Amino acid sequence: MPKRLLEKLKAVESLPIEITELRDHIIEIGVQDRIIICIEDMDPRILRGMLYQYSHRPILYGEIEQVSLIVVSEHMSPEWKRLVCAKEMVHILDGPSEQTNTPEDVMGLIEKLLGPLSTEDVSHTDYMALVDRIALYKGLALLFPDRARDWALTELSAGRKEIGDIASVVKIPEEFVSDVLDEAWPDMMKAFFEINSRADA
Amino acid sequence: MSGREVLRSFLFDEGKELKNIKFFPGTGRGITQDQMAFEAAKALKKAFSNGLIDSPPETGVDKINLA
Repeated sequence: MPKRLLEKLKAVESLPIEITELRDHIIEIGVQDRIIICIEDMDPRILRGMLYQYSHRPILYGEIEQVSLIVVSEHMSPEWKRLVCAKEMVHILDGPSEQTNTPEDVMGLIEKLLGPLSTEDVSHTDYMALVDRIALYKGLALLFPDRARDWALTELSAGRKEIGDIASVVKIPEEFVSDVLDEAWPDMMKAFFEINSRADA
Repeated sequence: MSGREVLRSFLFDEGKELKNIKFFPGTGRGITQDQMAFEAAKALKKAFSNGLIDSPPETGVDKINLA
């Protein structure tokens, strides 16, 4: 995860962190011209969301525009919509070796995401699928960063809040709150954030 | 056309250069590659035909200070 984005989230002073705030941070970093988020009629049993990053020339002979389009299923809870958005935003900052942009890579990624993880395959496609899965952890870290985590642990220890209350404040699916509050989480995030991302972000 | 062919056609034949694509698979069991690819293509086409209406989810709640 790029250092500049992490630095911005270290300074978070209130919750919940809105998706639009995350988007603004990414655009401020300067790695993307436009980030559009569309909520569409997508069967969440098949596909909950996706990121489509492309470049095009909106005006003939004009400048090329870099666009990130995130599409999210409308048939999910608000918390799940937020998490899917955050996870896909992580991919906006993918480094070159993490990006999926050839026909073979696209189809290979779909195959790997739907199939069982192999312990013997170390191909680029496997790496992209692994990065895709790790993005969920990073997405959670964007919505529930360290400062918010510290606050949650304090509230829980003091008996002022329960897990459900924390989820309600952070606005993430409740089933992930305990995982983020696990004592292993900071070390996991440290390791994940070291994985290749754009050096200029 | 299979779902994968529909997605491939959308991503590579329509005048835009693909930089990166990622997926968040669904909750169902036994989802096939063609099903997921078709759903992805369908959603993308719908988003474009609707004019790429930007509608990020907003909580609408008052913020709580962490201080």
